[in-house]
Amino acid sequence: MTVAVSATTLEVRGVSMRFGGVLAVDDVTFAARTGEVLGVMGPNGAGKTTLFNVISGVQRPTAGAVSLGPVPLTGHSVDRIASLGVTRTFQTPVMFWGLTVRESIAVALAAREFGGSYPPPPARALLVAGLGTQGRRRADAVLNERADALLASAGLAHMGDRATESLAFGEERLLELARALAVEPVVLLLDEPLSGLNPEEVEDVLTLVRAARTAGVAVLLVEHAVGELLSVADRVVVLDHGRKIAEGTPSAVAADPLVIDAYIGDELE
Amino acid sequence: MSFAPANAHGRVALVVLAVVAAAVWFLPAYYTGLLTLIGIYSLVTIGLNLFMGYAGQVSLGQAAFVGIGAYTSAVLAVDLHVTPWLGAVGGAAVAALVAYVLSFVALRLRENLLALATLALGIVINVVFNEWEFIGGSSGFKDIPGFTLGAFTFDPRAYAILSWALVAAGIWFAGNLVRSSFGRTLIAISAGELGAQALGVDPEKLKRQTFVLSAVYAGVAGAVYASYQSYIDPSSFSFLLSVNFVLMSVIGGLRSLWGAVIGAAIVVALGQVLQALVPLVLPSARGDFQQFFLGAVLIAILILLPRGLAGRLSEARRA
Repeated sequence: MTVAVSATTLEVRGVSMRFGGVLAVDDVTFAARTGEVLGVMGPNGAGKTTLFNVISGVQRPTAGAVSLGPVPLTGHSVDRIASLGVTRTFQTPVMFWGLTVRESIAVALAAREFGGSYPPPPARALLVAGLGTQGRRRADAVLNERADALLASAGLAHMGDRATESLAFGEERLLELARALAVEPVVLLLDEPLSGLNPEEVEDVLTLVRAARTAGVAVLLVEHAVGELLSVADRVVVLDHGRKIAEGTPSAVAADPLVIDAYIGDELE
Repeated sequence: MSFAPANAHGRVALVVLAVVAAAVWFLPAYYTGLLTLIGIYSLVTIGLNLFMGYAGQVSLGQAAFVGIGAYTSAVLAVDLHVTPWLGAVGGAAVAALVAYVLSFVALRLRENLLALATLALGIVINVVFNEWEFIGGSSGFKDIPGFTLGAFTFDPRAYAILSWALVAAGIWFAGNLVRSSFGRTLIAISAGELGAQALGVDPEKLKRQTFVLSAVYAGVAGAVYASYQSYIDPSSFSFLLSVNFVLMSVIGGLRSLWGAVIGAAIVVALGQVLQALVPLVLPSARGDFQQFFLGAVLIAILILLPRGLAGRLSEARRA
């Protein structure tokens, strides 16, 4: 990775996001460190997904800035931010229909191969691919092998040849996560990775998340399943109505009256 | 650097080329001419299928790139006495350059808007063909020199073989491309652009390169067309031709390279049949009335075979 990895990896400083009259994210500041799982929780409409959209470049914040180590991210495109080391998954998994599971992973690996962005400049990649040079064909075969190895380590070895159209929802979640890990991110944003999964699949995802943490990835986790979130997170940031109302260890946050208030208040509304 | 001898697409293409090269010695001139036209249109449609079928975009302006290739080659041959072989390279280069520049505007738009933008580009470029006196304006360009090989000047048979040799080369290149990382990444952006972006894929750059490549295919086809016909005018590259290329792509099957060839053959053949039949059925019908029926056929195919004929064939093979 080209980005120098420091103890503080991702910094979110004073980020606000306004949609018309609604302040979806209101002056939020926090940092995520390498090798930690940072839970982001809050009731519905707290601004969690908007925050992820701002960090990953889907939306440009109204105010504030996001940076990765010394590198500013704000204002860059999603693919540029990904090539700098910040990738994400989506609430509804995005599948590459038309490709097999193995090929989906290979797409991620190809992007990684060329310094985190595909296609590499200039049009050489196109010409080399079209002329079918031996080197390129070997490289593509290697990508397939590496994709298989990655699938095996994610416990998906049996799925390699399946068409992505044929996957069940839980399998889609796992594939999307494996695909994101294939680009070896510095920061990984997971938007409700557990929703819609059966208990077994929840365990599979949490295992992958813990493995990523061990590998030094900063994992940001938005999740509605508060129990699972508190069990896997090292620290937690709590949002309510766009504002950060608490930050700390899971046990401290769970005992925080403001947090309890926000959740109970949400249920009473 | 060593190249793959042939992928599956390339091998089949060589067989087809051999069949064409043999057939032209037996076929009446009329059918040899149709074969040449199908080859030229196939080349354009193979390029278009990369952009439409694999990258998932729509171009309604492909005829303009054919025209740019044709006019470039014609000007080079007539005014500068450049051989059509180099003219084809020049035609492809100018078409690619125009596509590259236009892509900065067009590819910022999405889906329907991109289709509309390419449609507008096609029309604007056709207006340029019409108004620019240097390239003959509306009266067109006459006496375009033919291809030569040593002392041999290409006859209709040679054009049929040339056009299908280019189809073979084009399908070989495209066949390599779609099986590579490049092709997979194209499929990925057409299925889930944001998901691919989150992995570091730059969709605009990928689409741009594919759009430019489709213009290269069209430009080469145009250069061959110009020398083959020895006469071109703006109406040869009208909006209707662009629509026909889209028809060929869709009828054959969008994510299929051979589908492009099948689609081109069907549209050309159907055009001939309709041209013969329509006056018999509707004596008062004139001009482009056959296009009306082509449209009806397209709608029928879209309803009955949403994945095109080639898609239907591969489904049947799997079943």
